[in-house]
Amino acid sequence: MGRAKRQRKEWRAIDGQEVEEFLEQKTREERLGPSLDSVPDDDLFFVDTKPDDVSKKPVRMSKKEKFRNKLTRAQAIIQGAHVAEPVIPQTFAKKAKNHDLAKRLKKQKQKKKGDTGELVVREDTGKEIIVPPKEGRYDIFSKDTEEFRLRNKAIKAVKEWKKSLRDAPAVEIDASGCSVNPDYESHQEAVGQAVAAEMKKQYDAELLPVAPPKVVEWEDYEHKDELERLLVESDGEEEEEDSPSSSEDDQVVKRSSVTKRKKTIQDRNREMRNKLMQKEIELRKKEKKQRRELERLGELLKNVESLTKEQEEKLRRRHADLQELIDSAPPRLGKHKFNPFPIQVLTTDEIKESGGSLRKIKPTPVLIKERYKSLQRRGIIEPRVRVNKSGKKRKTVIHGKRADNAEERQQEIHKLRARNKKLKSKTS
Amino acid sequence: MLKKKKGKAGNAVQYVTRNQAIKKLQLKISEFRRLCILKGIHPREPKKKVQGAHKTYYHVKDIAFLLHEPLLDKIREIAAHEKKIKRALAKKNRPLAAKISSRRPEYRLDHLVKERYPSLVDALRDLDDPLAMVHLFAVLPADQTKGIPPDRVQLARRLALEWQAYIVASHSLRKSFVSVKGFYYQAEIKGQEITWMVPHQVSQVLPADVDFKVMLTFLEFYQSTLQFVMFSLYNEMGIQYPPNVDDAVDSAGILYIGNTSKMIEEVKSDRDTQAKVKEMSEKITRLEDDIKELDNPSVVAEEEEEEDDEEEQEDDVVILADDDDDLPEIDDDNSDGDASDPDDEDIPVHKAVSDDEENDNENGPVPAPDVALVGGAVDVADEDGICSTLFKGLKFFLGREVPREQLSLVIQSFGGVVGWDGEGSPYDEMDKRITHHIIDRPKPLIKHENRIFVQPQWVFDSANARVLVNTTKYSPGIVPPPHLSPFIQAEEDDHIPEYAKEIQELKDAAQRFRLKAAGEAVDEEFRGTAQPDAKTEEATLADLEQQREEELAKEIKEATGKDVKTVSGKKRRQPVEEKDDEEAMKDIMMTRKVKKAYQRAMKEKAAKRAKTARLAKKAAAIK
Repeated sequence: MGRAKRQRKEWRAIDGQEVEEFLEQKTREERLGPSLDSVPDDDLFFVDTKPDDVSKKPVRMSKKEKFRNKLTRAQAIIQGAHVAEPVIPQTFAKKAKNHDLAKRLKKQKQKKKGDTGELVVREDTGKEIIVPPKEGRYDIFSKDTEEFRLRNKAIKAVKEWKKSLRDAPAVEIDASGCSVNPDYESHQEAVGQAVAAEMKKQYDAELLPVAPPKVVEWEDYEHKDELERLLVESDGEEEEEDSPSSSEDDQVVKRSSVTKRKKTIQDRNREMRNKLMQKEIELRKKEKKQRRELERLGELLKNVESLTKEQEEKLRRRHADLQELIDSAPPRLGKHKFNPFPIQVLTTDEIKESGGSLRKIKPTPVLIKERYKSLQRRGIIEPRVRVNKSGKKRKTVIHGKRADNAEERQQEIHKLRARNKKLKSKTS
Repeated sequence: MLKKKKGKAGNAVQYVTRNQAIKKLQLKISEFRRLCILKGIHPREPKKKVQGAHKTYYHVKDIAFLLHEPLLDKIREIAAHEKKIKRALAKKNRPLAAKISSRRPEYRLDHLVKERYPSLVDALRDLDDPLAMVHLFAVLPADQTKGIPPDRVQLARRLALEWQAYIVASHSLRKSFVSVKGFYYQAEIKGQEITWMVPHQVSQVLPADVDFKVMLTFLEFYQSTLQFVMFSLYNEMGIQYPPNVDDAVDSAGILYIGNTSKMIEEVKSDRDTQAKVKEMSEKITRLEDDIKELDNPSVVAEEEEEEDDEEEQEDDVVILADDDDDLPEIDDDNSDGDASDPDDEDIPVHKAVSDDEENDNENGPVPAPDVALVGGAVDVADEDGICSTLFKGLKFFLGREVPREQLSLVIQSFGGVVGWDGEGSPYDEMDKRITHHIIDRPKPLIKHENRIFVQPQWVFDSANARVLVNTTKYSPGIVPPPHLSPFIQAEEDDHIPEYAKEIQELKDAAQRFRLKAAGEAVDEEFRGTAQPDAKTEEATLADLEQQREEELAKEIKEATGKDVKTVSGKKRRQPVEEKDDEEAMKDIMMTRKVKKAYQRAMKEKAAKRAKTARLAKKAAAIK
C-alpha cells in the first residue's frame, strides 16, 4: 500500500514542462526566425570606433552653428541607448555568468545530430536536455537510451496485465474447415457451425414478442380470426371493466371497517402474555434441542464435515460453470451484448466452382469488422451499436403526383362523356 | 449503529461509470476513448454494478492513472486549438484560421510505448494485433468520409513490407494457412510466437457499423510501437532503420522486400564470415596448443573427446561456407544457379521414381526417402535449419495470376529464390534455371521440360510439412489435395484427414533421412525406441531392474555362498493383477451418481473412437 502511495506521488512530481516549453520555443523560432533575445548583442550591433570621416578637415563653424550642433541631454541619452547593457533578471544573470551560456550554445550547434538525439541547452534556465530523435529512429528498449525521454523522470513500466483465462488471442485462427480448399469432414463441421449460428438468429427473431398493431383497417378486422380480434379489442375493454370493479372494492373496505373492533386493555394484556409465553416456549425448545445435540456431538461433527465437503464441491462446480461462461463470451462491458463475427466458410457450391484455385475464391471483404469484433471479444472496447442520427427527417416529395391525379380525373371525365354520347346516340 | 448506505463502501467504490470518469478528466467522450486506447486502459466488469447494469465501468485507479498522463494536457491543448480555428472561421477570418492551424500542438507516443512495453520481448509478445492491423490498413482505401488519412495507409504499407523483409531475412516463418479471410502466418522471433493475418487481394469494404476513429487510434499506437520494434530488430541485424531502399514502396512491394532482405543478408553474411575467420583462428591456436601438449598424451585424450563434437559441427559449417556463403558476395544468382543446375535438372526424375516407390510400399516400414523429398534441408535436423533451407537451390517463377507478395514471403523465408512477371525480377519467364513455375490457371501457357508447373497451394503445404510434397498432385488444372491448417493439433481420438496422415509419413521419412545425413543415425535410433508408449519404457525399466537384481543376487551368492532367490519374477507379474484389482475397487467405491457420470464419459469416448474408425473405414472404402 505504502509503495503504491509513493508511486502516485511520483506521478505528481513528474515535470514534463521543460521539454515541452523548449519544443514550443523551437517551433516558434522556426516560424518567426530566431528570437532577438537569444542572439548576442554583439552579433546584432557593433560599436563604431572609426572616426566619422578622416578625410574631412575640421570645418570652422560660427558660434551659432556650434550651439545648434551641440547635443542636448535628452538626445545624448537616446543616442547612447545601444551602448547600455541589457537588463537581465538577477537569477538568470548569475547563471549565465557561471555556465558561459554563449559558449555552450555554440557547442550545441555543433552537436546536433539527426538520429542520436539532440543535446539542447535551454536558454532561460541554462539546463541541458536531451530531446529524443524522431519516432521510431532510436532504440527505445535498450537501457543506454534511457536518456532519451520526454519526461525528466524515467518512464515506469506499468504492471503487466493479470492475464485472466478470459483473454482471447489477438488473432484467432480459423478452423481447418475455413480453408480455401478444405478437407471434406472439417468443412462439413465448419458449415454446421455456421448454419447453427444462422438458425439461432432466426429462432431468436421468431421468439421475440410481436407488438399488436396500433391501427387496424376495418376490412382487415372483419377477416381476422377471433383470437386476433380479441387482441385488438382488449385495449378498449380494459377501461370499461375497471370502473365496476373499483366500486366493488369500496364496498369490501367498508364492510371490513365495520367488523373491526377496537382493542380493549384486556385484549392488549392477553396478547402481551401470549407473546411472552411463546418466547419462553421457544427458548425452552431451543435449550432442549441443544442438550440433545450435545449428546450426539460426534455424529454432528461428521455431518459438518460432509456438509463442508459438499459445499466445496458445489463451489468448485459453480466456478467451473462460470469459467465456461466466461470463455464463451467477453465480459459484459456496456449496454449491448457482444455479437461475434460470423464464421467465414465457403459453401459447397463455391468450393466446387473454385476447384481449389486461390484465384477463384470469394474472400471476406469486411476484414476491418473482424478486427473490430476481435477488440470487443478481448474486452478492450465495449460493444456498441451504431445510432442512426434522428435529426431532420427528409420529406419525400413525389414529383408530378398532383398532375397525375388531375390526369386521372380528366380521363374519368372523358370516359363519362363518351358514355353519355353513346347513350344519347342510342336513344336518338 | 449507523446503517451503511448502499454503494458507499467496498467493491462499489472501486469502480466509476464512464460519465463520471469523463467528468473527472474534463474530456469529451471521443477524447476519452482516444486516451484510453493509447494508454491501454479498458472498461471493467465489476461484480456489483451499483449504478446500473447497462453502464460501462472503469476502475478508479485506472482513471487516476489517466489523470497523471502528460498527454491529457496535450489533448486539452489540441481541443483549445481547434476551438480557436473554429472561431476564426466563424468570423470569416480565413488567413488567421490558416495561421493558427499551422501551429497545431504536436504530441508523441514514445513514452507510452516504453511504459507499456519495457523490453523488446514484451513488445514482441503483443505484436499480433499491431501486425494484423497494419497489414489490413495497408490494403484499405484512404477514405476521406471515414477519416482514413492517406499518410497512415502509406505508413502501414511501408511497415508491412519492412516486417515481411525482416521475416524473409531472418527465416523465422514457421506456419502459414490460407483461409477464406486471408493468409495466416506464424513466425518465431526470440522465442515468441507471433501470429498475424494478411487479407486477400480484393478491395476491402468499409462498413458503416465500425467506428473508424477508434480503429485509427489503435493504428496510431500500433504503428509507433511497430516502428520501435522494427528499429531494434533491424539494429540487431546491423542495418540502418528505416532501410535505404530506393524503390517506391507502392509500385513493387515484392521488390522492396527482396532488396531489403538482400541487404540484411549481405550484412549478415559479412558478419558470419568474420565470425568464421575468428573461429578458424581460434581453432588454429587450439590445434597449436594440442601439438604442444602432445608430449603429455593422457591429458590430451580427455580434452579431445570434448572437443570432437564441437569440431564436427565446425567442419560442417566450414564446408558449407566454401560452397555457398563465400560466393554470393561476388554474384548471388549466377553462383547459386551454377552450383544447383545439375541437381535441379535431376529433381523431377528423382521425384517420379520416389513417388512410385512410396505408392508401392506405402505400408512398408521405411519408404525410401530422397533428396527431392527433403529439399534443400538435407543435413540439418533442427527446426530453424530446415525452415531456412527447405527451398534452397530451387528457383521459383510466379505467374501473373498468383498472390505474388504472399508467395514470395513464404518461398524466400524458406530459402528459395523468386522471379516474377514484372519489373525488377532477377530472371524472366523463359530462364532455364527455373525449377518450379507457379501458376493458377488450368493450363500453362508455355511448355518447358526442365521445370515443374504447380499450383500456389503446393508452396504453403510444403512449407508447413517441411518437405517438398508430391508435385503431381498439385499440377495445374486438377483439384489439389485439401489445404490443412497447421495450427490444429489433432487429439488422440480426433478424425485425422487422410492427407494429413500421408504428409506425416513423408515428414517422418524426411526426418529420418536428414538425421542420417547429419550423421546422427545412432541418436535417431535411440529416439525411435524412446518415442513409443510409456508401457514399453516401463517394460524396459522392469527388465533393467530384474537384471540388476540378478546381478546383485549373484554377487551376494559369490560373497556368502548362499543362494538368494530373486523376487523379480513375481514382481513383474504383479502389476496386471493390481490393475484388475484397482478397477474392481473403483467400481465398488464409486457412488451411483459418480459411477453413472464415469460410465457416461467412457461411453462418449468409445462413441468418438467408433466415429473416427467409421470415418477411416469409409475413407478406405472410397479409396
